[in-house]
Amino acid sequence: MSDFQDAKTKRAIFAAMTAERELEQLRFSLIYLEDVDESCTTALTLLERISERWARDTAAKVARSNRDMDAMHAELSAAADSLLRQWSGDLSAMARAAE
Amino acid sequence: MITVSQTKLAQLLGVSVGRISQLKTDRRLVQVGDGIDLAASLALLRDTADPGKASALRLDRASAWLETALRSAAAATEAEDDADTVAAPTASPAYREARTRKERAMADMAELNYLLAAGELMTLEDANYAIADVGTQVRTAIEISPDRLTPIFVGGSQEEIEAGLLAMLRTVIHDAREVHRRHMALAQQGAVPGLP
Repeated sequence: MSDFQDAKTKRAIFAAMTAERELEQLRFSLIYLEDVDESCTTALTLLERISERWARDTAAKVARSNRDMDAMHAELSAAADSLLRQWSGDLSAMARAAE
Repeated sequence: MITVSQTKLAQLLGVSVGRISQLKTDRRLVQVGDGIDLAASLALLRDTADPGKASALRLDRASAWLETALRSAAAATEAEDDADTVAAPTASPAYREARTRKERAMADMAELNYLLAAGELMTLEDANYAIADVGTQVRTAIEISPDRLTPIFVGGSQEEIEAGLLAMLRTVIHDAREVHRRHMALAQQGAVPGLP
C-alpha cells in the first residue's frame, strides 16, 4: 500500500472513531419521552398508593390533639416529613429495581 | 458558517416570527446579509438570557439541528475530497471498513436527531428539569400543608381530618400530573419539522 493510501486509511479510522465517540455522547444526552412519562406517572402512582394509609394514621394521631393548635401543627409537620421520606424511599427502591 | 432565515429560526426555536423580530430589535441575534448566523446567535441568546426567568426558546433543539447541519456540510466536503483522490475499488479493506463505521455512526446520529426533533426523544437536561419540577411541586405542597390545614382541623373529628388530608393529597397529585402533562406536551410540541 502506498504512503498516500496508508495516510488515507489512518485518517478514515480516526474519523470513524470520532464519529462513534460523538454518537456515544449524543446517546448519553438523550432519553425517550416515553420513559420520562412512565417514570413520572409511576412516581405519582406510588404517592397515591401510600396516601390512604398515611391519611388514616395521621388523622388518628392529629385527632388526639385536636384542641391544641401547636401540637396539631407539630404532628402534621412530622407526618408530612414522614410521607415525603417514605415516598422518596419508595422511589429509590423503584430506581434500584429498574437497574 | 450556517445561516438561516427568520422563519427557519422561529421554527427551530419554537417561537413566532414576531418574537424573532423582537430578538433582532433587542440585538440578541447575529445577522449576516439576509440571514442569521445560527451558531453565533445561539451563543448570544445563551449569554444574554435572564438567569431568573425560564426561557421559552428551544435552544437545545436548535443546537442539535445546527450540529447535524455542520456534520452534513463536513461530510459533503470530505466526500468531494475523497472522490478526487481514492477511488472506492482501489481502497484497502481497512479503509472501507473505517468509512463504513463512520457512515454507520453518522446514520445513527441522524436517526437520534430525527427522533429528538420528532418529539420521541428529549434531552436529559429537559427530562431532569421536568422530573424535578414535578417533584418540587409535590414536596412544596406537602411541606406547606401543616400551615394551611392546622386551623381547618382544629376541633375536627378523626374522620374529618382524614378526609381533609386525603383531599389535600389528591389535589397535590392532580396538580403534579398537570405539571407533568404540560412538560410532556411541551417536549412534543418542540418538535422541529424537516430536520435532516
